[in-house]
Amino acid sequence: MKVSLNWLTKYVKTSLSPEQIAEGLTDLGLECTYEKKGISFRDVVVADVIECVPHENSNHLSICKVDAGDKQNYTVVCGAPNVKAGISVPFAKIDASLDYGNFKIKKTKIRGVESQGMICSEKELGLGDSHEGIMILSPSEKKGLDFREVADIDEDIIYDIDLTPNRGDCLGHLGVARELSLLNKDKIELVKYDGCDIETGDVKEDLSINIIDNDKCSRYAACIVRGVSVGDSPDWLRKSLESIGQKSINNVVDAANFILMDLGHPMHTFDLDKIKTNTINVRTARANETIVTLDDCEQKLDSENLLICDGDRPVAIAGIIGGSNSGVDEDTKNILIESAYFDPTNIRRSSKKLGISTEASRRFERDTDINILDIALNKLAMLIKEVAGGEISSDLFDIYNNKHELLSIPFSIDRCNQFLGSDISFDKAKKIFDRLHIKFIEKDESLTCVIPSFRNDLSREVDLYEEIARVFGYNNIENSQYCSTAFANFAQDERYIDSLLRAVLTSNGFNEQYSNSLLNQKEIKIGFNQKINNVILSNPLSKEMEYLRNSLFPGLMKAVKFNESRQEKLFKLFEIGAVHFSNDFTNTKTVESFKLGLAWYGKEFDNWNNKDTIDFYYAKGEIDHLLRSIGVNRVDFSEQISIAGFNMACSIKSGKNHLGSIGVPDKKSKSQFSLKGDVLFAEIDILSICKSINNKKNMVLTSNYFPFINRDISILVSNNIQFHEIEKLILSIDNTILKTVKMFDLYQNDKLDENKKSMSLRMKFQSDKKTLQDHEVDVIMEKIVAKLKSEFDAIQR
Amino acid sequence: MSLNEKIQSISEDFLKDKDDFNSGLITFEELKNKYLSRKGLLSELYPLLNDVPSSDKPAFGKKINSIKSEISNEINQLADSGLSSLLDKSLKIDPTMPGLERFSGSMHPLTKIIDEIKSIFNRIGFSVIYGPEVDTDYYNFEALNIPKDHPARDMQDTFYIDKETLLRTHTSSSQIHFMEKNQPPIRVISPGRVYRNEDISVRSYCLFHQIEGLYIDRNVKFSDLKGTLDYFAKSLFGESVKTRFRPSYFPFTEPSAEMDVSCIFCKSDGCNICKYSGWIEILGCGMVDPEVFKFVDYDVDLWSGFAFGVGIERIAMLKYGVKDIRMFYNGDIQFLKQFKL
Repeated sequence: MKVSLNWLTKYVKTSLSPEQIAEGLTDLGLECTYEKKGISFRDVVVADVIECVPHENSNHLSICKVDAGDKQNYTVVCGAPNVKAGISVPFAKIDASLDYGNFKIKKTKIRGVESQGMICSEKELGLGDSHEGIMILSPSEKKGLDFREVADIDEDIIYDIDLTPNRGDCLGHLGVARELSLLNKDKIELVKYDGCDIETGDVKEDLSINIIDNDKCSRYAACIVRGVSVGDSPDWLRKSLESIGQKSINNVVDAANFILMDLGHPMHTFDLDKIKTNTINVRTARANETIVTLDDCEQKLDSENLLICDGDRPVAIAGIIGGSNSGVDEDTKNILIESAYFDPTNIRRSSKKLGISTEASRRFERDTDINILDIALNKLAMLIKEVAGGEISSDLFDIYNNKHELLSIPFSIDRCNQFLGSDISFDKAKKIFDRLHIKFIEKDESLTCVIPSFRNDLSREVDLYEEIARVFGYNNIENSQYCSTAFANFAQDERYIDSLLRAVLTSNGFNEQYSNSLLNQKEIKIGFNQKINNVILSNPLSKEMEYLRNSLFPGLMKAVKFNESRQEKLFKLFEIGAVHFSNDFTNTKTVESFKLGLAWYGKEFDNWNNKDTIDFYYAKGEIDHLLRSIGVNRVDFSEQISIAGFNMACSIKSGKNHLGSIGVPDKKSKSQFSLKGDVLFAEIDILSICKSINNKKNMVLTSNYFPFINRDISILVSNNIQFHEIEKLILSIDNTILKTVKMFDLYQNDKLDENKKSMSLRMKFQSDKKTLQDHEVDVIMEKIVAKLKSEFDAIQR
Repeated sequence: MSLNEKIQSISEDFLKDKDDFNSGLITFEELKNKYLSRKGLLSELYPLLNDVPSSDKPAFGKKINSIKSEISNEINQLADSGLSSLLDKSLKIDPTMPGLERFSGSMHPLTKIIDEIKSIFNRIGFSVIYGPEVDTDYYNFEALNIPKDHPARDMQDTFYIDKETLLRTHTSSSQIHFMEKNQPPIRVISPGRVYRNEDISVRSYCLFHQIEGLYIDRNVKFSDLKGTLDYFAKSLFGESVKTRFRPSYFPFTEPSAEMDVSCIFCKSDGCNICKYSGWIEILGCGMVDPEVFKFVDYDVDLWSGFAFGVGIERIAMLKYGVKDIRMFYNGDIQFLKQFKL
């Protein structure tokens, strides 16, 4: 919302600087910035272009000789397409300043020619937005004259207020002026605005107004101005509107806009001769009824919309926009002015339904002042008469069925100070109410406050505390210096596990990533959770962001791609975040679960020893390490799964708990992200991790210092036999001294049978009671070899 | 060859090999393996003991032991002298060669800020709670005193799943969830991801992160809100930072305020970042509106409290000088690696 300081000072005088006003309004809750309007230049004079030839070294520059009336000719290089000999122009001499001193004119060489000044455009002078070419003045202007005397400029300060939705009362200069008056030390009366005398003629009008839906329109007033001539607005009116960014249209429309911007009350003007009957009906629209609005769009209506009708024919959508069948145009002679109070909720619904938001609807939905509408009506009628001529008919129509009663709210200064933690005196509070135009009745240190009809946002005592606090100054209330706490509050962070995962992963070289949770239709179909129902938005920003992610896979792959494109060769990423699935049984029809996503990119390490590579076993080792670090025992990768989009995948389990999956994305799914390099991906459910953490008593075990014996064997066995089968078999042979089975070498070679592999295994034996003897181990080793032979046809090498 | 001859020949070989080693013809490893390894020359001597008469065994045994200890002593001396490693290429260490590289991991800047804020509030007794990202209109709007047809709904562009289900636009919704299940006194903060249906640009993204705070007890005052948040700002940005509070509007608080901190870049002299105002907006806050208490059945006359919401991206942009909000989400490891533990 833009307001002009010149306009404001019609209501309230102030000696504050523009900056103090901006700060003051901001401190009152009207956050604003300001801009100076006016003469922004110095040493610009009227000059004649006496010669104009093209620049030799350029096809768009001209070299001009300029006569500035001081008996010397200036050579000026000018780039404007509209410069020519024989015109009069504003000319900035050397050392002139533009843009409030931010731009100084200096002697410069432009493509080899020295330019001794500058011919200015409107924009350069701060007079308008036109930058198309230089400004051409009327030939009658005397050369040499200071351009300040010629230019038609009013100095002003324009405030741009970022208004919060509760302050509909400040959507006009009057409301902002009330706030401005709060900044003055002493109470300053606003210039009287409500006693507008209206001069009416003798004409009697035959018009009847019926409000059919009283709860949507509690007051409807109208008057008629006959014999106007629609045309251009006078300068003051045009300039007033232009100063706050409003376009001038014609005198009648401008007058209505002026009162809108002035009092903040929206009104509508009809061409009386287009109104066919003499009955105005205010009624709810019927289903499928239509109206063509002023912007020539046909609108389909329903029972959310309130209509203004002549007889039965809709002529306007109440509080939002007029119909094209009844609008004011250049030929309009007689005008019907409507000034009404519409229910804010209804206007909001009506406007949302139609998708139309106008200056009027914005105000009505924030609630308007029911008691100003007759004043506004009179003011507008008088203004139209002033700027467009005509005569105001003697009959004023005002249907006001249920009179609005001003709200009374009790107020206690003790309760207020208690709530704010302040020490504001009763007197001070009363003064503040006074300045807020809140009348009160005093009784024993407490007040009954009567809320003016323009402050519909104040309805409870706590609202008054805020009024007291903001006028007193939030920053004048002292900060508390201590805080107390209750033991009942302390609870453990239920996602503490995330911090542990992060700590382990980051110290193992993973970079944490956050990715967008909104995905497109293709992306939602890849990853480990393809079968589950997805969550789709009904109003996405674009097709690219239509779904809520069901996996961290797409986000991480996009991040991987980002880095691959930037020549990164080897890196590891992780993300912890929510994924969503639809579900018929929850409140939100969705379920949320938190996942840990891991991505490994690249193959060979850059190290000079050329030993390490990232592959499935490397990633498996990292997951195993991660889970063991935070207390998950027995991590198991034995179950291979087949999932579209992955060359190989297997589930990660701990006992019976499924924790997640790890996989190698195939060519097709990598190509969806334009990925070329080697990638591994794993996704683990965080809640499942928590369930698998061994919560048994954390009592330490006694260390076992009896010497252990390692025994190695190499076996030749069929490729089909998996390591975990062999491990399980060996461990089943003894459960007293056989502690672990490890594989320390794998050998597959042409020299061997191609269906066989050679595995080297190391068994660790240890007793927790004594020092083991070789023969005790030998017995078990023999059993192992025999069992491997009988079960898997494994041959010891 | 008799055992005696064998001992003699080993001893001669060793002298020769020692010379070869000293002149660099053989490596220390080769020397050591030839004599001392499991299959080395010296270990070949013991089986030969079986061939000598048992009466001579002790004498030969001694002889073997003595040559063995002699040779191993000499080899050990060579090792101690350092000559071994200097001359042996496989053991030669160049400490200036690169160490085997480890990946350098990093914590996301938003995680770092969330953790820092959590710890600031943990110190004064706030616990951490969470709420869902997908929520109903009731929790995100209605129970926060933002009825269906309220203009305040325009303040936040919302993603909907259906008429009643949406992506939360603020973490304030977790206030309601928590209050429904708990009775005051309450001191909680709630971090999380929130969504806004806004075009993506340098300054705005379709989602961001917030931390909500809620404190309810008997006689909680506006001055407590100010004191607590001033402590927060000073903990986050440094003791010298000043705070100011401006009236604002949120339907779920009354009075409502926005808190600014004195510009940490120009010390309030005026710069690009504070737009020459000397102040930077940090958070929105206010005293919990009595209407909200009614929705969760709290006795309005008994309890009062305050709530606040901090935008994490905004804080991270300020603290780390990040100019483009999209940097947080594209996974650029050059960017991410800069944030250490």
